[in-house]
Amino acid sequence: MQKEKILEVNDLKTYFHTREGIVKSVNGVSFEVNKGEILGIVGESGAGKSVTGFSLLRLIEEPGEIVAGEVKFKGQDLLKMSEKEMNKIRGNKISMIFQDPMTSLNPVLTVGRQITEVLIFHQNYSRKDARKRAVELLEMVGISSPEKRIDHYPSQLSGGMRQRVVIAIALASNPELLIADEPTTALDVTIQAQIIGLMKNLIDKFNTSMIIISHDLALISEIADKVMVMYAGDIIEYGDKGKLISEPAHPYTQGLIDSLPVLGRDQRRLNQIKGIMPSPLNLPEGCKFKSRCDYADDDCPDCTELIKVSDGHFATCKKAQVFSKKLMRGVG
Amino acid sequence: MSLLEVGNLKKHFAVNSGLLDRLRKNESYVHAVNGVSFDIKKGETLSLVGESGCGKSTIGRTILGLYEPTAGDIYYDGSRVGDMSEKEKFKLKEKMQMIFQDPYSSLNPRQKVREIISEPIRTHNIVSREEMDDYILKLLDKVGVDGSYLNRYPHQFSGGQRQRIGIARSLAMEPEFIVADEPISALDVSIQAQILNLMMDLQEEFHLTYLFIAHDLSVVKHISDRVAIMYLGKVFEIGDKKEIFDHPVHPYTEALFGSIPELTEKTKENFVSLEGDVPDPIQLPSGCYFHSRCKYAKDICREVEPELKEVDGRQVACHLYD
Repeated sequence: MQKEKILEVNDLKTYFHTREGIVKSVNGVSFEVNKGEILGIVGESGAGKSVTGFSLLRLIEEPGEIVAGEVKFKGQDLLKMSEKEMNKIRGNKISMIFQDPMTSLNPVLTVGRQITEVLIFHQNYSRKDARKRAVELLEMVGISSPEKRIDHYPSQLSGGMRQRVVIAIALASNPELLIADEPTTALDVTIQAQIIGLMKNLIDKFNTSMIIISHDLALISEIADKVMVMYAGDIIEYGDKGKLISEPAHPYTQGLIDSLPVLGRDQRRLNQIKGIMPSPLNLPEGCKFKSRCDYADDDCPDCTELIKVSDGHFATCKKAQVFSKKLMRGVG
Repeated sequence: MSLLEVGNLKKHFAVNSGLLDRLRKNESYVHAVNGVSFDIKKGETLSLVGESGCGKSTIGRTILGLYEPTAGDIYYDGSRVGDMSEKEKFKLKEKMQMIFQDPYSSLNPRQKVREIISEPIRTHNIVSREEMDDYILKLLDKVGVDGSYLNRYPHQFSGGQRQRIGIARSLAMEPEFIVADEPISALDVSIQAQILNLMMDLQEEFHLTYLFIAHDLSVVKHISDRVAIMYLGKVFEIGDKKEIFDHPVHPYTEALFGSIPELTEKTKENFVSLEGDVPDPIQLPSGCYFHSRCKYAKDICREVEPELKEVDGRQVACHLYD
């Protein structure tokens, strides 16, 4: 059975026009998200993963610009919509959860006010019904005594609770797609586990699709169905989670997996990827990972096109098949 | 022989401590560290692990003399730091150095690399003016920063390079003991491995003793010899790294280990291993500080604070093992 495609992105390019030159933050990415599916985007800072997420909702401001591509949400190209039509999508059909709950919540409005705002604006609730619904939403995200908490200000809540409120706001309009940009990076591990567990439960319950953006490959591997690895504005590997983790094809993904210290393994030195990501102002031609790659040689072709490794698993490195291997590391 | 010994260390920070509050007996305190004891042997790495607010950074800073302890003793190489004269304390500061978390805010943006590294050298008169440049170049070489960058400013470097410069600055004192407060948590994954490897190489070469402060357990497992798990200013479990990681005994340690994301091919079923939030450090809970979140909590846990005692080759503070 063909799954329903919620989002289809084609050759999206987002550039920033800075004084020093053009920064190609997202340089032609294509991917899709099906209904009820979780796509994880992984990469280091500067890889373009957040800019990709922001571009989907057209939240790019000067000096940034979406220069090309298509973002098809249920068949409609969001990039061609008027700002008015876009407002009906943002926070309604597609919601976003940001990294830092302290900055994404308004500190001078009560929690209840911020949730009911969404309900009144997008769903035509009356003020009274909205408040009732807000209490339900707070209860759903696991906040105890929601009737009391609804009148609290964000500063009266702990970091984990604030992020729960942000999730309640994001889900208030029953969105079809949720974009979560590093939703737990500001939180401690035990709270992170609570929040990720909560998001997974709610996503499953409402059959919502989600794009989760994180630098933590381990975290992504625990929750996502599909994984997309970004490097310097490109997707360098993309596909089914199980395949990508067990048989990483691109040397960068392999290096990323190999450089993680593993709890169950004893080793004295960590494997490291040498060097750093090239400056976005001065990207090399062809494969951007070449200068850090152990396998690079003169025959390296321009690695910008994703090629098939196996069914539902793609990578940009043409040597992919050669390196594809089960890494000796007790991946569970 | 232990290089550093900490006995029943307490550090409380006053909030509401104005004159009126004091007159009204209204003062309250953030209880950051609530009676912590441990020792570190020469050449060893002890890691303090815990979630934010557990007091791990406060301990590091108190040991270095950046905070006055509220109570308790710190012994360095057998002598009590509190009894030292100012002159002795100044000398001690050469031996104890710190590596900071954020390489963006710990380097002065208006100083060149040469000035950043030479400032402590001049203050402590480590080498003469003529030998200075040679000395700095040698340090930069040790940490893997190109010597030709001597006249650059911090903003011209990447995060990893900046952290290397910070490490060079602390090595300039030829220290014996280094407090590394989350030294890699601000860095990207591929760079983290580089810095960890560097720290371990330096430890071997210069026989350094590390107090490593971190919340990332896989990193801690990698670098430490011994580990102390902290919660709300208390040590819950302390002992040999291998013992603790192979077989955590305290319920909190167990829950903490269960929360760490691990690379997997299959989607995780059950994420939550610990409900609720850390209690307020101003109004400390009675009994065991963990009882409100502990699934094994008994009556005694609500009333009596558990002491550290020997269980399975490590020290544990929990009534389950009475």
